[in-house]
Amino acid sequence: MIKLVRIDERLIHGQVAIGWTSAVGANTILVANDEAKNDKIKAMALDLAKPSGSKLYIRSVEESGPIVEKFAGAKKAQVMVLVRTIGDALVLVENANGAIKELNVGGLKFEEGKHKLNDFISVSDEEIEQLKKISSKGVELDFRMLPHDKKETLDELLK
Amino acid sequence: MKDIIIATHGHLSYEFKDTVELFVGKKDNIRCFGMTKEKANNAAQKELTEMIGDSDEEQLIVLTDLMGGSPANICAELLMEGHRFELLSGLNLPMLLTLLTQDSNGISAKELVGNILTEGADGIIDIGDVIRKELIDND
Repeated sequence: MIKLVRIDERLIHGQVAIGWTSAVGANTILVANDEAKNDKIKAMALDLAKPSGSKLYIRSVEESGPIVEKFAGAKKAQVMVLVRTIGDALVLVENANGAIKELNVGGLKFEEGKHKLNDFISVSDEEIEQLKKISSKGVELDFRMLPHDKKETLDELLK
Repeated sequence: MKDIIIATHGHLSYEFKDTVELFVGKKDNIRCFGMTKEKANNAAQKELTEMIGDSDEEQLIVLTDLMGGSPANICAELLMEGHRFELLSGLNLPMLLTLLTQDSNGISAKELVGNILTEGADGIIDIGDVIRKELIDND
């Protein structure tokens, strides 16, 4: 079962390992990220950061869509899927064959050239278009840093 | 939900509360006590006794920073006088996070304390050593 699909530039960190894992009851983490898949050091760092007792899979963004689809039908695995960028999330959604119904957008901190939507979400023009595309595929967007935060929608943030 | 008092030296308790809220959001069931350098022992004793007196002790967990330090000593004395709350020392972030994420009406304070001790100890890791071993394995 898919418990959470999240965009977070830091992938696994304290708020995810502690806050989200326990709130959604995840026992499996799928990191869909090309860099981590191809870089042993990054993969090792993720493995160190994962919550104790959870299983971690690191796969490329491209190959992760079908994996998410498979996990959606799994009974024992309670899965949290993490991607680093909105662009990666779009690819994931497009390849998951409708298995992703909801997408949590968490930490995307401000960088030069991006629009600051709130304290933890900044996006480029291209990313706004990508978000709209994701939304048009019937995926509900949920902007929240932590589980107990109030859910915000894209429309609310773009106001 | 358990009643939590963090009792430490200086302002550490307040910082623990602020920091843990980065992970789990605002918590109304945490109160803080700080043994600051201008606070006399009598005043500290009075303050902690009142904080503890205001609680349902069956549901109260007091977390202190240092065995043998004033906050722990004052609370230990209260236990010796017959108070019945749970009292721990050596507080670290894994302990506090375990308490906050595992707390529910279905778990007793005693049982929770067992988990807090385990996770607190498990959170102390020689990361350098772990990585050195991993690197050797990968060669």
